[in-house]
Amino acid sequence: MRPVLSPGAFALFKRQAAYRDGDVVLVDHPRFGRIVKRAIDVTAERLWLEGANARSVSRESIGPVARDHIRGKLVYQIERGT
Amino acid sequence: MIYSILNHLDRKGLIRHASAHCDIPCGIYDPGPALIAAVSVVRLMDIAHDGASDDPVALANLRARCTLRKEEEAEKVKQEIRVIWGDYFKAPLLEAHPNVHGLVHSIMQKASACKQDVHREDGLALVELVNEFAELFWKTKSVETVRKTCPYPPQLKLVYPVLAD
Repeated sequence: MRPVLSPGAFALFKRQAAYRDGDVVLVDHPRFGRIVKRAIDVTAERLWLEGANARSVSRESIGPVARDHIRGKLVYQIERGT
Repeated sequence: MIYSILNHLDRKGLIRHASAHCDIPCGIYDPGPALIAAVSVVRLMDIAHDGASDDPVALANLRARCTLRKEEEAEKVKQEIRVIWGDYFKAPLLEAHPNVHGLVHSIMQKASACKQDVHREDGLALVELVNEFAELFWKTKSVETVRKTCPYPPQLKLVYPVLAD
């Protein structure tokens, strides 16, 4: 998720009633496990995910994710050296 | 300071981890070269078996070349597969496809068997294993595959990705 998140960063996520395009979210993905990605094409039932880096796994590889797999939105992070 | 405190708590297992990894530096992985190398192993076995010449020295030369190239192609199979397995497959993919470890190990073993001898069935088994690996790889990319006969000797069925354009 560079440059949004650096390796080893501590991140605080907050559960939201609704998520919007561009939110960086914590997801319990059925295939990839607990991951952090950016939400895109959010609808009431599901959303798509993408990395912040051009070399990230494609959104097609990650697939659509049901809303109940989203654990929270990134609200704060502490990077190494802080 | 804050990071150090959190790091301390993390070492005590009090903070849950999440992966935010991207793909590897170049991001270019393809099992195609491994498949071509595996097919080459079978082809070189065939030439070694079927090669004929009235000149015993020429025949010995042909078989020596086949043996050398077979060794190289089998090693290439191992190298190509090791790189994809070691660099492309990361924790989430390994968890989703736990059978990849056994499959890669089988490929290593079978490629070594192909180096040690000239049993065509070992070569065919190697092609099949690499085909299975290719299908698994493309599945992780959500790319469909098809098995088609390769348009060159030994005309074996190989896995090809079905690409959109």
